[in-house]
Amino acid sequence: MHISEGVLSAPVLITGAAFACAGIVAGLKHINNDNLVACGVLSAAFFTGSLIHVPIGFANAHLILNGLLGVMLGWAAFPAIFAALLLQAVLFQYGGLTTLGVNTFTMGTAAVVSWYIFRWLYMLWPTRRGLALAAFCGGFLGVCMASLLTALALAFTNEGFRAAAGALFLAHLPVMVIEGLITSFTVVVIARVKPQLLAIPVRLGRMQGYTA
Amino acid sequence: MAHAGEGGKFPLNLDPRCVLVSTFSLSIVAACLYNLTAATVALFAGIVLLLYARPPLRHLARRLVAANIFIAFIWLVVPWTMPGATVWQAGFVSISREGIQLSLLATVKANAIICIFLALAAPLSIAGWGNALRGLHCPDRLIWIFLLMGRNIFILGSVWQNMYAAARLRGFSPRGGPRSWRILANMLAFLLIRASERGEKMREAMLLRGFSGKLPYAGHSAMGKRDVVFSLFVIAIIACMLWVECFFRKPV
Repeated sequence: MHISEGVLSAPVLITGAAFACAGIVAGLKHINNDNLVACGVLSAAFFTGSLIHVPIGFANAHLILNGLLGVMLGWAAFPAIFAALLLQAVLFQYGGLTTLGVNTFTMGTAAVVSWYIFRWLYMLWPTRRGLALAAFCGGFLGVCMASLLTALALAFTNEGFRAAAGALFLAHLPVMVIEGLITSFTVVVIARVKPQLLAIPVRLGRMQGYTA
Repeated sequence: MAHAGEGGKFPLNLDPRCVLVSTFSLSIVAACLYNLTAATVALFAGIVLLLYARPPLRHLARRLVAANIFIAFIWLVVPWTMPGATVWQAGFVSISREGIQLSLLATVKANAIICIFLALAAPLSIAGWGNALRGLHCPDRLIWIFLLMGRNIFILGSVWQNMYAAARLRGFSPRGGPRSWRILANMLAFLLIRASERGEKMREAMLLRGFSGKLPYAGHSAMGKRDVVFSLFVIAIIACMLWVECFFRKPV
């Protein structure tokens, strides 16, 4: 999902950075001293989770988990994604500083959209299956929106990148389905074991025999 | 007050704020170039800084390879999909001059920025980054999230390794299929639950130690002579890049 540095043009980088700043400011309003530490540690868990390699057929894909992050943290996902990308640049030199704004914007927006869709779908159908479906849509949309916005950023940079942008989106199609499934399974388990972790009130039978 | 740098060899003996601002400004200017010659100047500057900083070579090679994967993807797609003057043709496939130029520009720019980053910002520790960001008036809560993540990813990484080893000992071998995905998702859910419980414990411990949301800050000394010299050098490189960009005005 990352665009490497030196590829995007200045207007795209600046627009991305401006939108990312707005998103981070909006996200920080949802973080107070009470949930700050939980938010930081959970984001670290997401970072660890995104290093998991999931086998798909003959290939391996690593998870992106921005949909799940959005489903669990809501707007707070924006600063969390920014911090995660900065950390990724610092520790692994993956992503980079100049594209930080664009990457934060693409993934953060996707996370927030996933959060609203997830909440709306679960309100429509508040059962276990509804929760699983809503979480699937959240995970699917997280990757779908993020790759769509990334492809748009590429296409706006130079017309020559259009085909590459299309290829990037198509390459992420299987990842979207896997992310949707993993998000769905994960949210159902969390709803049974520790429902207060989800930002919406969920009432499912508590799963017996599981302790964290 | 002691010098704010972490001490040791370049760039750790500089003020981290100065290093961060230099890295940002060099990278941003390099990212905005349209001219191949100017981009080559940026790459040259990056290599000079890298030679001066002398990071461990194996580490460096690994990072450069990882960062060039996306560039390889660009080379695979752009030269034969971008319309323009044909340089080589075989059947339906034709490679355009514009496509090659665009890919080459992206490659040089990307590697220039990566070299600059590896030379200047990569040696800074996570705490050093937090301190520098605090000195540059970043919001406290954002830095807290960054520092908490930096502290916890290795711990949670080892929690994940333990869970994964336990699953392997029980005969789990990941294959592509819903069953494997479900097991991985369950493990991920428990990683998140453990993280939240860890977060609660940390919050209580921090409250007991007087946590009020403010980031303790030791302050920075004024810029030393070394920082001024380094800043002048960075300004000279930026001026050189911009001059070449305007002088050889032939955008791709």
